[in-house]
Amino acid sequence: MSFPSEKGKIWPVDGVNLRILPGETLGLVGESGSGKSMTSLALMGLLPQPHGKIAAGSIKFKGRELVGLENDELTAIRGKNISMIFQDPMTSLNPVYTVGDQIAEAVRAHERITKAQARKRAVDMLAKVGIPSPEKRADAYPHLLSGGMRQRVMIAMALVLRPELLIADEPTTALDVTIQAQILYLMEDLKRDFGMSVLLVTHNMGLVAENADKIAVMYAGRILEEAPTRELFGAPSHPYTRGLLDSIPRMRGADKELKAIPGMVPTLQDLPPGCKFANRCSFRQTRCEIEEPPIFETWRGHSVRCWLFYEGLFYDGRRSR
Amino acid sequence: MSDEIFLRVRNLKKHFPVREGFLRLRPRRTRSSVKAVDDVTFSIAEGETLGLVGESGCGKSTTGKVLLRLLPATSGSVFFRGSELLSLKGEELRKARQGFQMIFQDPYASLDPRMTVGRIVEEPLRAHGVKSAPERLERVAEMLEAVGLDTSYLRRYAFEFSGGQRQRIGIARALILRPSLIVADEPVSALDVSVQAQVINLLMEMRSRFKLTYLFIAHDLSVVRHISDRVAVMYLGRIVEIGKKDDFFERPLHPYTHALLASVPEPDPLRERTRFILSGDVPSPLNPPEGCAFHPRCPRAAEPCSNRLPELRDMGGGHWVACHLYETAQTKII
Repeated sequence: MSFPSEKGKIWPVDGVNLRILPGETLGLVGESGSGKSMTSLALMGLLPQPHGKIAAGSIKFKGRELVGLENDELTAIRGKNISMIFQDPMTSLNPVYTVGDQIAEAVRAHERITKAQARKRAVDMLAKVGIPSPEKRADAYPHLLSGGMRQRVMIAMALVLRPELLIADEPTTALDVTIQAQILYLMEDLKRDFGMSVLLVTHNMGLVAENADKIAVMYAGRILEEAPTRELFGAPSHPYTRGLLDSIPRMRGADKELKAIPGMVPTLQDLPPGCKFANRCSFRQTRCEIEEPPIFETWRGHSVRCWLFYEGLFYDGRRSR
Repeated sequence: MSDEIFLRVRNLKKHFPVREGFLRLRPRRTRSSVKAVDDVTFSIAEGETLGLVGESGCGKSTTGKVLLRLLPATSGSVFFRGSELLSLKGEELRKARQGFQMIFQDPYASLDPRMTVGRIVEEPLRAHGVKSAPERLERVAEMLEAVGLDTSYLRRYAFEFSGGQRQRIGIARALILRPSLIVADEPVSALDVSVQAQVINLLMEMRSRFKLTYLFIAHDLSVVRHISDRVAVMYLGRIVEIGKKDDFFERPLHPYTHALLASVPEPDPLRERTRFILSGDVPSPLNPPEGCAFHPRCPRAAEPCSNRLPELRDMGGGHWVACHLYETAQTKII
């Protein structure tokens, strides 16, 4: 994907491959600027316009190619088959409509039903996401609700059409920790009831550890490591993933000094030619600065974009994908 | 011994009047107030770090601001190194201010975009009457180096820097007057994980290098566990539990603390999860529940909880809790 900028085109997302199976939760983790939100927006066909372009690649949803679809075809899929919840429920809800009307509108955009039926669907959904006295709350404007309630409304709106894929971009970052726990359990229950797949985009390693089946770690527009959740935390392989895990303070166990990753994320305008993490990596070799490593599969379903695995212990001679 | 007291906060209250009526046209008709900080008492020993945690709106930031005299207190006392801070005025207050400083959450909003880094860090020196320009420059350069910034940054502007570096500038500004007490209000929560660790390590390094005492306000419990010696939890303006770090994390007493600790997602997929979640939201501070403010959400709420406010009681070893569960337990033992 590319954007024009003062220093020529920038590539916020470059060569990203992801695959989500039915009923699966994929955690996409990364720091700000890693391209994780851009990836999820691209899936929805919601790249900032007019400049954002998918330069190459393909997005297949149930066998159907989404890249290159006309806007109205995408609109039919958005909400109905794929829907999204955003980080900030205050800016994502319309302040001048009641929440019930907003949910009903989403239903009526995709299904030919009466206003009364749509309203009933909205109220039922509000009840399902745990909003007390949903009949009454449906007539409330977003600003009258607390942050947790607004996020529930967002979830109700995203799920009212029973999408097969839910993209949740930092769904709980704006919320307090006890409310975050409520929302995550709610999403887990709804996911089980509806059998949907989830793409969980976040910066929080704890969230993906507890909620994702597999995890992809992004950095500077690339996926540096991807593995099933237990595998990723049990055998983190990319120096960046290891660095991230070493830099998080823990809730239990002895106090250890935090090993911070030195330096900072390179800006997209001047990415280094080789491995994008090389300038902060303690395992850096000359090769890393010149040539970008391909993806090596170190174990079944565990892939790493790092030269260490070229002739490394786990390298089994195949280039994955 | 009284000369050992470094900081003691007693019965601190901060109530914000709420004006009712359209466009606040009748400001005199003050009816109710938000009790942002309500009867908060704690102390911090010299060199100690007290972590102050709680959810948004619980009054933790207001507590920090009131005790540094950035907001006027409604009542209470703050005793800091031999003087009563809340009654200081004029020149005395200005002098005392050199002893305590604040580090803010948002490194983007708390640095003046029209000032160079050198000027930002120098400002407190000017304000406190260090007249000689070469001396100021020397101290600024020294401080920049201490926080890990190159002195070539002196003439650059804050917007040129990343969040982590800006937070270093904010720390340099706070430390330039060599204060002994630092109130750090969510100093790392706006930062990315990999940079957050750099700033936490810097704060800890500065603590031992300059013999600082921290009141560390944060909502992230794992960060608080890492940096604090003792921890206090606030809920709707009151401290509900306070204790040594290990007691607090290993043997929490208050049901709210239990819920908080269980709610933190941990980067360990093998950990057994306890599905102990609180129902409902934090009540509006405009209209807090009667009795214990936590009782509508408390899984162990009983009859006295809705009528009577529980007092903070010492459960031994400096572990205090405000909960009726422990009141009855104790009276039984006695």
